[in-house]
Amino acid sequence: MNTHKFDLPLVLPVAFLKFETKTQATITLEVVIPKQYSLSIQPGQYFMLWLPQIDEIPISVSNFEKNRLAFTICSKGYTSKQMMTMQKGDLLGLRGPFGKGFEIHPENVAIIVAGGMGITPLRYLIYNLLKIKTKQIILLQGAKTASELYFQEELKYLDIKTFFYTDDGSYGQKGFPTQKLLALLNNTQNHNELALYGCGPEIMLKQILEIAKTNHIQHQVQLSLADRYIRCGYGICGSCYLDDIGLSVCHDGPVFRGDILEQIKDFGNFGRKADGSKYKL
Amino acid sequence: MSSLKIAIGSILLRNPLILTAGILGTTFSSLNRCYAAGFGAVTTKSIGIEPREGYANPSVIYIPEIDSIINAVGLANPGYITYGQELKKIDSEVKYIMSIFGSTPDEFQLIIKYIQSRNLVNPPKAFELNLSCPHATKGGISVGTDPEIVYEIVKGATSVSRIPIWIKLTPNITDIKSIADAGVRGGATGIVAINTVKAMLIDITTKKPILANIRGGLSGRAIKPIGIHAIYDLYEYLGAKTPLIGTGGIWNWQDIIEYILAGATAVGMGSLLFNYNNLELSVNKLITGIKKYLETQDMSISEIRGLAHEHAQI
Ligand SMILES: Cc1cc2nc3c(=O)[nH]c(=O)nc-3n(C[C@H](O)[C@H](O)[C@H](O)COP(=O)(O)OP(=O)(O)OC[C@H]3O[C@@H](n4cnc5c(N)ncnc54)[C@H](O)[C@@H]3O)c2cc1C
Ligand SMILES: Cc1cc2nc3c(=O)[nH]c(=O)nc-3n(C[C@H](O)[C@H](O)[C@H](O)COP(=O)(O)O)c2cc1C
Ligand code: FES
Repeated sequence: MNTHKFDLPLVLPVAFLKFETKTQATITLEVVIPKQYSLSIQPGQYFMLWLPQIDEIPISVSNFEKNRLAFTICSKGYTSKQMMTMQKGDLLGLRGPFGKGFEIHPENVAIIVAGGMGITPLRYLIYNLLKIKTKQIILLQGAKTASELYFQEELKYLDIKTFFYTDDGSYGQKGFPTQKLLALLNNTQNHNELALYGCGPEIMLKQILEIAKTNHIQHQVQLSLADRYIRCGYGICGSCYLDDIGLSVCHDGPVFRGDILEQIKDFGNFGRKADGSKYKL
Repeated sequence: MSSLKIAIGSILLRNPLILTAGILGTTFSSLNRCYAAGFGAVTTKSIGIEPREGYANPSVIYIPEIDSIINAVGLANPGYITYGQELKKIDSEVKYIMSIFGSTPDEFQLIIKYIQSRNLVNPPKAFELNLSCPHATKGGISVGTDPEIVYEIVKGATSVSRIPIWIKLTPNITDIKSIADAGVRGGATGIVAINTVKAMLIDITTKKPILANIRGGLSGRAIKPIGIHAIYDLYEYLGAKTPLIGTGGIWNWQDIIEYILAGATAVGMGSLLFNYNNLELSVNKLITGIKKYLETQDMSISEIRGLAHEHAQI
């Protein structure tokens, strides 16, 4: 038995659940991993969550602490909507962890840019950065509106610097977190110790990369492409490959370094549907 | 070091390792990447007439106990017209096989004619007919299980194709030889065996099938003996004149040698790439292993082909 990864779905009852918004469109589900398993999960890695006879979808780890594994899911289509209706004790299948996550180092000043649901894997990243006592952690979190600044209540009390942005100005500053990133980089002398992390809409990720490029620190950036179709998680079925250099989101990613993303023409431009055809992002 | 160059009929390859259909074959980039990693040729995902999303997930699952994969991808593909765009971007040095599927001879012909009309700078080296699709009228049986249908499809394909036609055989039949025979009569000049073996998984906690499609096909280590048996049978029946591409469960260089000894001209592989670390290294390890074996044996690839038969006759 492989105790580090579930290849066949491990089916567990939901131990805890909590809606993250009043509209009940985003939910955090937790399962308790039995003691015989010794999972080691990098922030940015994901699991395939299985609702028997419905579907299985990729979801990032939003926290993993003392055997409690948390996922935060927003209702997008059929399967994620079904997950909103789950009750404590309902069964959820898990395969994973899959993919490459974020690399972290204590000597860095970490600047984290989150857009919308992108905060999910970054929440787990922040807890990991705190655990290794990273020199400084700065979170720039943006969302359409106040109610979509997920975990904001929780994160603002941590030992990190936080800046919040909303498109409509309903909380924090009106505007985008990338504006603050630009200002921060302009005001920082020592760029060598910076580590930039991001997850959210690819348009935003592309802006982060552009800003990093103008400061010549693209190799210090790590971005997660957590909004693409994934089928197998093993890099073999071919569904999620990025043109032109042919890296898979599911296995080579979802986290990529900026100097790699620079070479990926699809990044911020094109996605692939389940049938393999391309669409403009 | 000995050369691994081989010929599959008129097609010359730098080595006998072929990336099998449906593995990293959806995009031009992944095909380019695999060829650059060292494969002798790469095969596209099976392409049909209409775009297909395939089945819901889970559709691809690795089973650790048997180092095997069960899949029910459901022939997901963007359709031949869209895929024609993909082919345009395949690098000029890449030798590739285009896998196609259909449920009637007309559908296969339509795809072949369309691809040929594109005037691709780098056209495929062969069309591989995936015969696993249900037949259009004959009550859902797979087209590859009926020699008559196979003959009609292959005959139709060879009559319009300017390049070699290969057929890919399913192991899920009683007599693989009769199907191969129908294919060869129809004009096929390469036989790929085997496709996946019918299989399924049930989760004992939920008491439900795991694959969204319930049933699927097994690939990987567990099916190698089945593939070896198929190639051994085909070589015995068809002799050395028909090129055979031994596929199913190849996990290391020894497995490749085993297929060649059974009668394979070249080998196809896919599942072994699951969770790859470094594609170049993986392919290189296989190639080095084969080369060393041939050197110690002081024989060439073509000399060891089918040797297991001679030994069996003693
Ligand atoms: C690495 C990764 C991590 C992710 N992490 C999270 C997370 O933590 N929380 C979260 O809410 N969402 C996450 N997503 C997105 C999530 O997987 C999709 O929103 C979900 O699959 C939608 O499924 P659905 O059945 O509800 O929607 P559908 O009705 O099936 O489709 C709605 C849209 O969702 C996307 N989608 C559908 N199926 C898949 C699939 N198999 N893979 C990827 N996208 C798909 C497509 O863009 C589709 O247009 C992640 C995606 C990836 C690739
Ligand atoms: C995920 C997956 C998708 C596949 N898709 C196709 C396909 O589109 N067409 C086809 O002819 N075979 C397909 N196959 C079968 C393989 O080409 C091959 O015959 C089989 O996997 C055995 O080889 P292996 O054990 O080396 O993987 C697929 C196999 C897998 C695992
Ligand atoms: S989803 Fe199968 S290769 Fe990435």
